[in-house]
Amino acid sequence: MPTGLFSTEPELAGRLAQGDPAAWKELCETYGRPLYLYAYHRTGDASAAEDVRQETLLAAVESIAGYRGEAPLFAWLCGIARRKAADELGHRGRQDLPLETADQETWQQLERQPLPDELVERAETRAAVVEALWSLPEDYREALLARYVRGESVTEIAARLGRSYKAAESVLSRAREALLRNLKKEGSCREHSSG
Amino acid sequence: MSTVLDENLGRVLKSALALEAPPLRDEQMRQILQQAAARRRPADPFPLWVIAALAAGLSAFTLVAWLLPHPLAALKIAAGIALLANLGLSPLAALVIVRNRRWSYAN
Repeated sequence: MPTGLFSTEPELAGRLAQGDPAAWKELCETYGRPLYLYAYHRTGDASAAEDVRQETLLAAVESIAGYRGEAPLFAWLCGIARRKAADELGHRGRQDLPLETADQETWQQLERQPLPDELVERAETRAAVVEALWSLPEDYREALLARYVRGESVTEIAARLGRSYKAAESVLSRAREALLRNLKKEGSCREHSSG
Repeated sequence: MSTVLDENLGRVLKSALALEAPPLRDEQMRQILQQAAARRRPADPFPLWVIAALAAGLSAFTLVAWLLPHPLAALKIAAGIALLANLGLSPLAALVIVRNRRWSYAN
């Protein structure tokens, strides 16, 4: 069973609702950077991304009672950030970026064929990956980042997680499956909401 | 052995985590401020008030003075709103201060 923030999110939300300053700090520290990344991919603008991050965190505190724990907290935050990004771009006299390209078909290709650079670098692809990655349990996210971003071996990941080689392989395998599931689910939701 | 999935995951994760936006250079910041100043009519408020960092140990009263150079000034706390909580303010107090003192781009 994975450990990490995923299992404690309803508890964090409860503490936020009660006005616990430590919970506020934890929210900002845990989700501040991925929210900035998400907002940057949605807006294509560093200054707008900073504003979206701040507005999203503020709105999250205001409306935390509406978070039921049915989805990962970061996915809920991304829902707020999407609206804030559209508002921010509107205020700046710019249109929302055309983010309609990362559908289920995109994510099916991940397992079948090398993705074209153009698809990898699309804003929608990047935003969807940030949302899917930070919606994973912390163990899974850490294993994926270690393997695919920092290029660590399974042996190194096992040492980092304090587990056996076999167990680290298993975590990596389940992390990949969970990430793909999140990506396909998000693509599916987007298709339904736009269709 | 690396699979197609491994290679694709490596590429999409690195791309998603990359921050291509470099920090603003001094020259770029001057240009942005000059453009903002040029758009400002004489009766308009300051277009933007940027707080890069807040000193530790401020009282709530002093903090408000830091945050409000002009009643209609736009406020951007560049160092992040988490700093308000670090000053000992409750999240709701921090929220009220930022909300009340921030001039929306929409207005």
